[in-house]
Amino acid sequence: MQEFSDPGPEKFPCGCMVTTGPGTPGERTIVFANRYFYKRLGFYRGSLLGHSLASLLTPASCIILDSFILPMLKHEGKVEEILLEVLSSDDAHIPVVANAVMEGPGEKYIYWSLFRAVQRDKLYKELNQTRDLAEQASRAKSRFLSNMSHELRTPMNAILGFSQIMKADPALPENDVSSVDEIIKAGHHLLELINEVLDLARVEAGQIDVSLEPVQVTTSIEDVLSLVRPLADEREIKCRLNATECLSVKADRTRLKQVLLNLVSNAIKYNRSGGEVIVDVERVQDDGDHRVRLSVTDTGPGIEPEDLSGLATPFNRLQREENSIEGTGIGLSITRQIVEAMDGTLGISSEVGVGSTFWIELPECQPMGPAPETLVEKPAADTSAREPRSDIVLYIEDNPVNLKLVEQFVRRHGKARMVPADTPEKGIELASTLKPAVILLDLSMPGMDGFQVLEILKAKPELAGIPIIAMSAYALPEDIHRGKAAGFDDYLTKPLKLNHFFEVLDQYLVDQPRS
Amino acid sequence: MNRQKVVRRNNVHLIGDGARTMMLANGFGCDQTMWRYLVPRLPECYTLVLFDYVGSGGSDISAFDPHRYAALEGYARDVTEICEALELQDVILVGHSVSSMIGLLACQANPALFERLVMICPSPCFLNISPDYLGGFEREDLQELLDLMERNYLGWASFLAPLVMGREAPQDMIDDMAKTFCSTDIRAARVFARATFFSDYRHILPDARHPTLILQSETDALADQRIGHYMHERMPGSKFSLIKGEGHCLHMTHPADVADRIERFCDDRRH
Repeated sequence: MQEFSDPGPEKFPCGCMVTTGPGTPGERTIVFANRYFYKRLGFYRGSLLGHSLASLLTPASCIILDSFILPMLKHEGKVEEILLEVLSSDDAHIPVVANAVMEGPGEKYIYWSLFRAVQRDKLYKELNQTRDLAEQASRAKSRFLSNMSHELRTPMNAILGFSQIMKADPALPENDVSSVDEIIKAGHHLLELINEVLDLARVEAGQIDVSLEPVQVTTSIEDVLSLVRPLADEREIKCRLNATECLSVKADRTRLKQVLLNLVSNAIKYNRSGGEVIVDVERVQDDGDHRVRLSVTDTGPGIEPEDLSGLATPFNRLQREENSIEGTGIGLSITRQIVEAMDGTLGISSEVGVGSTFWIELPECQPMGPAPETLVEKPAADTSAREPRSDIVLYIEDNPVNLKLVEQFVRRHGKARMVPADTPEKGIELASTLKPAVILLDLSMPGMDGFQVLEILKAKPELAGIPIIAMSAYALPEDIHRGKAAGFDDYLTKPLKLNHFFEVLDQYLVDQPRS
Repeated sequence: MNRQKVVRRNNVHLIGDGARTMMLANGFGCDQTMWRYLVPRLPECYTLVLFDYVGSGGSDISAFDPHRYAALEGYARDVTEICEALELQDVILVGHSVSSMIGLLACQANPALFERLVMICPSPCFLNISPDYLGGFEREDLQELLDLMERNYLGWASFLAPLVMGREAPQDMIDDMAKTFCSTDIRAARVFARATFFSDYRHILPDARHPTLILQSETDALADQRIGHYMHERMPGSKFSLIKGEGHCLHMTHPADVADRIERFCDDRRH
């Protein structure tokens, strides 16, 4: 066998290069490059000797060389798989993957190998572009949803707010009470539809967030049953829970309630008067894993077998349009997607003339230990040492209808008075002079938004400790999260609910003498 | 914000218990591990405060707010919030690269918290802006840099947090930070990159009120000597100090020299 002789760097199908290292004064210059290197970059052999390495790189690659590769070489002795762009003889940018080594910090030379990455880089760029476009579209969708929610909720605030005020007025003539009730009922229904449509869009966009934790099912069911009691009573339907033991599932507490609420209220809506709704809880085995099945059974007319499959498709209401039952046909579709997001399943069985059973199955888990004692931070804690509190609620809001509405809410509440500020500037000035008990702050105002106003208010030492509450028709969970993260003490979404508004005022107006 | 929250959000670490407080703020593309060569060379009279901006290192990524961090003021708020939560006083703020400008913003927003400022390889604006400011780069160059970093995504982890610990880092630092490697969030990095490379804070230079040391690298592709001089001329109370070295990361490549000059600058007040 012929003895193999060292081929040197010339024969390798990759760029080999040697430059000066930190041990040599001045910048990095090229002292060797192999044939492949010259050929692929279109230079005459030997023509790069003595040139600076930087002159062969794009400005962006120079930055990476300078701020990453050289310091890394000095400290770690090598870099690997760094994508750089080198300039060919006709100034084209050629992507290369570079490895470099240097034996010691004071080394005179750095040894480089460079691999052309044209095809790979092209693919990678395309992938990145596709991802960017998808992210952009998803952001646009979220923005649209958020704006849509805001636009629809703003007029609802006036409709529901003023009708709640009217209803609470003892002087309202008897004849008008039921009219106002109808406005409130229709308003709530419309709001529910808005929420459902938005929820569906979010679910379809894959934006459903679930945070899984052990949830005790019987407690959740009892909560839901008490929520639907008025609806059930109206139709004289008996609701009962049938559970032999106390089981816990891994689920998102709020989402589970949303699911149960949908199933139970459907079971009431699509039932006969005087009928029954039974919620069963049982443990089932699935490939050795324990799961908990929650079934909601009604005594309604039942569903034809051919209709069953299309049931959880959005907007499918099984000809229910003809009758008087309210709904969009969205609920069950959302329900199924939420259940699946929690690693659960949804199933239906039905017998015409007897009734239907809608069930969900979720993974069983150990119940949570006793809840740790939570410390609720109440603003009351730090009020004792302060000056007697003002009874002023300052509301900074540009929309005159909202100002008028909240003024009536505050008057009805009876423990404070509202001072309006219809521009952010006026609000900031009034806050400093009045030192109100509470500041209510609209988030979308022309000129300066609520977050900017919040920052200015927070920076004023004389306003320290005064609760600032965001009031906004931006009602998506991330809007609320963003508001609280920015430092708002509370976040009220429009349309305002009179009772909830009172609760929040009560919380922040503690120790306030009644005026 | 309370201490616990801030410490968790910004992954704050305290080293030493010296009488004077020195806070080290890393530049774009890394986290607090970048200080590992400088830390052992700083004298014991300092309590060192190290942290990560939200989205890099061991910070709490859930606290990342793209609105807040779209401009350097958002990062400056991190700095002041850390000082306030830890009740730091007379802080000597040392910032590398973009953190020099973040430091200046923090000093101007809350002058009372800070005693002096050290800027390592600073630039108030990386862009060339007509008619006569030469930040060094055209917008397309910087766009290409971001793009190139993005395409280095597979290598980003190592790109952003320079690999393994150096031999010289103190053991407790290695232990503390071992788990923070490679955790830079790409979304946050993008936002930070834009805030860093496309901003222009030249206008705040004349409002500088704190004694400031500008440490300039002799050869720096990102912040040329003329930029250091430009800043020095416009910042009242600033000192210019040229380090005969190469590169944009003097605190990594010339830690002894950097430590020495910081020390001399901080000793000034005693003379």
